[in-house]
Amino acid sequence: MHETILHKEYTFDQSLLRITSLNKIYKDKKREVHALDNVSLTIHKGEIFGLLGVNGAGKTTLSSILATLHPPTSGDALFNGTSIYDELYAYRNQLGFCPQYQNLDAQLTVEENLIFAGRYYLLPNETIKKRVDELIAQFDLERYRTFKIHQLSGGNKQRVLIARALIHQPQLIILDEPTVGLDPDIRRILWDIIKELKAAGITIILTTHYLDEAEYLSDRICILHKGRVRLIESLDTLKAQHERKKLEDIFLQLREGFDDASQ
Amino acid sequence: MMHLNNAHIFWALMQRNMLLLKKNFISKLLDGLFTSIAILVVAGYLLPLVGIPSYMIGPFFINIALNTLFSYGFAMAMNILKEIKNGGRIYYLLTLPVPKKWVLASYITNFALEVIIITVPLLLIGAFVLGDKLQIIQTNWLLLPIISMATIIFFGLFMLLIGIHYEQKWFFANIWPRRLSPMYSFGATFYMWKSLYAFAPTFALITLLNPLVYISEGLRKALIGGDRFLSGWLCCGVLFVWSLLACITLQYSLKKRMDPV
Repeated sequence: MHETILHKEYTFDQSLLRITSLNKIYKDKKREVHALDNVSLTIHKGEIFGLLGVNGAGKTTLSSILATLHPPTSGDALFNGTSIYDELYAYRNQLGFCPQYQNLDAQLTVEENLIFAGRYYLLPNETIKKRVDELIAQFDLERYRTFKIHQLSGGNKQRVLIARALIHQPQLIILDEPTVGLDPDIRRILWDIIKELKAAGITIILTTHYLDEAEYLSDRICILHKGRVRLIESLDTLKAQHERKKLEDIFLQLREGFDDASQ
Repeated sequence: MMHLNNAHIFWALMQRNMLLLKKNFISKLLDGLFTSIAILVVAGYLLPLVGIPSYMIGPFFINIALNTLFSYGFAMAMNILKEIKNGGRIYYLLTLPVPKKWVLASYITNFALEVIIITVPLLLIGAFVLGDKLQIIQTNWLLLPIISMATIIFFGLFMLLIGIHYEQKWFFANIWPRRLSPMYSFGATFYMWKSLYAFAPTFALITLLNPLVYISEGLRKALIGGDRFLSGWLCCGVLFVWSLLACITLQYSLKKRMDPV
């Protein structure tokens, strides 16, 4: 059987996060589900790493494990060469996580959300004040500074969510479906913000099922399918290999191969 | 150093809780006053009017106050349930550089602060207005704050536990009829445990498995005194054990709920 699985492991010196043989198995009385099946990949410093896949592919499971919300069943993730589980709190200090569901403190204002986020990361008061002002300017939130979260639109909530994840200047930020359900113009604005973050040297793991988003933002693409890594490739190489097709066409073509291989 | 950092993050979480309390202080205080007035009217005037013996007024005063604690605890349980169901704030807090027990402790401490704001006016105004009607024999001023704190901590842990442990659908459909209502009814709330023991000793002994028995009896013993109630210090000790069990189960339930492997 012909198997269309492309899996190239990069070995750059500049790796920030190295995931090795990660498995996540959910069990109930009737069956076992391999949400992640032997996932190994490396994320390089300063890149936007796009995690793609259909619903149920394992994207959110992987990002939740990397956000340390869940432990894996087996395998490890090395951050700057050290297991994230050996230095859990040091890793969390270097991580910003924007989950799929907005989990801002709804009872606080935009400014208060950012201030308390700074305090949770033990930043000095002057640094918090400076960072809050910087982030409010960067995310164009000045006029909403004293608004409570429930008074904001979906797009503005998403900006605050990303701003909050950046308060402690993490090296790595995980964006889980950052533009889901947002209007096209707001999505564009958020894409520009994400590009700015990359330009500032922040490494970004972008989980999305919007192929245009992945195409616009990602340096490399990882396709997960049924919990397995089916492809890791730079966008340029991928397009060259597939005669400059759009990512959507490439994805659909590859997916057929994955389904055939799974059967 | 790490413990110091944890304590600082916990303090930051508490600062957030206190800011919210400050913002809602008048509203919370009014809640407490309305509750106090309602309880005082029932315990001080309606119960004697309908023929409840005067020696029962004090115990009933405690029971109605406990009922209020149940309501506030239940509200907290619903909030945490909603947070878990909707991927809410707790998911952010669990990614902070602090062990999750500190995060849980911040929820319980917040609950304790709210409850104190509501119940302190109740107890002060109640003792002042009801006075002789409570038929206080001897208030144990050492035991009273200790059993009150033990009660609040147990309630905080217990309500957080049920909010985390149960699925939303089951919680809303079944938690009152299957868990809370029997717990409340057989928690020596409508009677004194020793009175029950005199008539139905086996059943009374079985009800000793219910932590609410120790809360009802312990608070009565501390506030009213006399020999009609279980030993206050025994109640404190058993509540401590129950709180410890709730604490262990809470950590396990949270792990299972967040990671249903």
